[in-house]
Amino acid sequence: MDRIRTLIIDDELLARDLLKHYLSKDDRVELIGECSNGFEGVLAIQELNPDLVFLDIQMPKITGFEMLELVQNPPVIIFSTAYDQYAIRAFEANAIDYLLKPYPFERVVVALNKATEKLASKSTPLEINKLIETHDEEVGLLSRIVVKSGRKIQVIPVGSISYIESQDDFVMIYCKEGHYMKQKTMKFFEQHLDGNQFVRIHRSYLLNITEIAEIQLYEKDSWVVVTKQGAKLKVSKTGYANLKHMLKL
Amino acid sequence: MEHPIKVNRISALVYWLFPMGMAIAQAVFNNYYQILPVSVALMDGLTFGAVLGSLGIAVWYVVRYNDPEHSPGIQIFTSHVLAALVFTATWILTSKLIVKILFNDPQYDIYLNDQLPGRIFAGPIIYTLLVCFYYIDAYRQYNREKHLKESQLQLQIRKAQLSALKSQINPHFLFNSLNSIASLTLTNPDKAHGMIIALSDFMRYSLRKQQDDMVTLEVELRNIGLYLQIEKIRFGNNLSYRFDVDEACTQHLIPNLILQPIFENAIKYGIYESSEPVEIVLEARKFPGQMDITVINDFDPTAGSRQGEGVGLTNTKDRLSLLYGSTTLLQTEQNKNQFRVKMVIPDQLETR
Repeated sequence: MDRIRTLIIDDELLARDLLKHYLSKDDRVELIGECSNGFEGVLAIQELNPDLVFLDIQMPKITGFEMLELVQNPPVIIFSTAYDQYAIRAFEANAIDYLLKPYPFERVVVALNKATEKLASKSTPLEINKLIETHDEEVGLLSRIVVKSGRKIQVIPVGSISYIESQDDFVMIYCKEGHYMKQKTMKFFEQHLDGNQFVRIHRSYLLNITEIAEIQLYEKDSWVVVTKQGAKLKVSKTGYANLKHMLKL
Repeated sequence: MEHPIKVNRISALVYWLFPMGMAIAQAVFNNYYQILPVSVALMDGLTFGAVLGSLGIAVWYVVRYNDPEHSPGIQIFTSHVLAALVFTATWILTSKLIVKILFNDPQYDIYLNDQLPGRIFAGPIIYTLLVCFYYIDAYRQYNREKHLKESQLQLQIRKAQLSALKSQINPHFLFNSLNSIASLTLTNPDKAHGMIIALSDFMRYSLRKQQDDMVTLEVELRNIGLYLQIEKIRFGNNLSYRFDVDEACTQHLIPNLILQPIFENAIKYGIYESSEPVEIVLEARKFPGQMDITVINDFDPTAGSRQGEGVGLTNTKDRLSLLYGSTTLLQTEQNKNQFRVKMVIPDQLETR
């Protein structure tokens, strides 16, 4: 059988050293790389296409969860973290495994057994999506959104979002610097962006109220919001009511 | 304290049952012995009963303002004797007047004059019974409230202790450090040795100190040094730090562990969120009446996660304002890629 092509993503050198030491003791594993932050991690997964990733959660720039959002067809993931609050309760069922630092070699062997089984059964990466979704429910208000355009990863602070437009099964996030696609639903953003700042003005638009330049009457009972960057967005009847309520008109 | 009769409908109903029941009983009795026609007897009973009931409700206020815990016994006694007299007089005169207006019957006048000594005698007795009832109820209410307050207090104390403990050692820091040690034991046992000792000293300091202890800046900084030394082993050259402390400041007293959350914050936003080298600088300057401590750290503005001051800094602010009685002792300032926390430590604690 082929060896498991494995990638380590962890911001701490010593943590990577320990894990490398553990993995070197197991013949099933072939270590193909290590990364010290999520940006590198996304690129490495795309370029190296590993079978298995040991992933830390709290890392500079973007977290392990945010990183997974950017990866299409993610490999098998084993979390390796000191943070137990994300853990186990909701996740263990879905995660291939969740290792709490510091953990012994025997624990890694157990995780590798699960990974081998998973890889042999060639199952779809459905679990990871489920995992991210469960995570979605747990996150409170977002303070930033991580997106990818081409090879570039962009971290958008929510304050700099102008508006979000819904497309078929993704959304387009419009900011000063440009617009970015994100594989998430409108509902998700409506729930996880601050309701005092973002308002649903139309089935297709979620608007940052600080970005409003003007509200124009379009025709009877129909309005248009002009943003500071000059985009014109349709406002539905309920949307107008929401807007009026928020701006206390 | 609540009026027991006003608390709910049932207690009011039970209360009114007594005078009204007595009135009806009296009417039946009078009618049976043919002393008075039933209508007159009923009117007499109901009027006296209604007035008695209403006055009885008012007696509660006499009890309310004669709390045995705060008023001298002689005052309580005098108030109740006076109130009993007023109660009896008001009861009989008002009732008599009402019956007279509604039902001017000479036969009734004779009857009432006959009854008067008995009723005058009954007045203070009823008053005494009511007062007893109210005092018993007040005592029960007092006990219930005391119980509730005690359990709430217990809960608050527990919460306070818990949050005090929480602020002392950050579990993520602890477990990540232990993981680093596990790694170092394999690759660099000497360094592992040093880290265990630094971690032990740091933990001993954090666990031993009570929240309200004061320490010198020198001692506090030695502990912060341990903390930074451990983080430096974890993050290597990415972290550097510098303490720039006036000679006059080293022996200045500060609340222990007050700097810990500020440095944790600096590490969290500076180091955890950045892949670039970060420097943390502490400056301590002495001014008349106070010492200013400023902690400056670089951070990565593109990380986009900084929002507000965070729990750690809010707790520090609260603690300072509790100790020194001012809410403006901690101020934060953020420019492009630097975060600055300025803390003022007055020479004197708030005198209480």
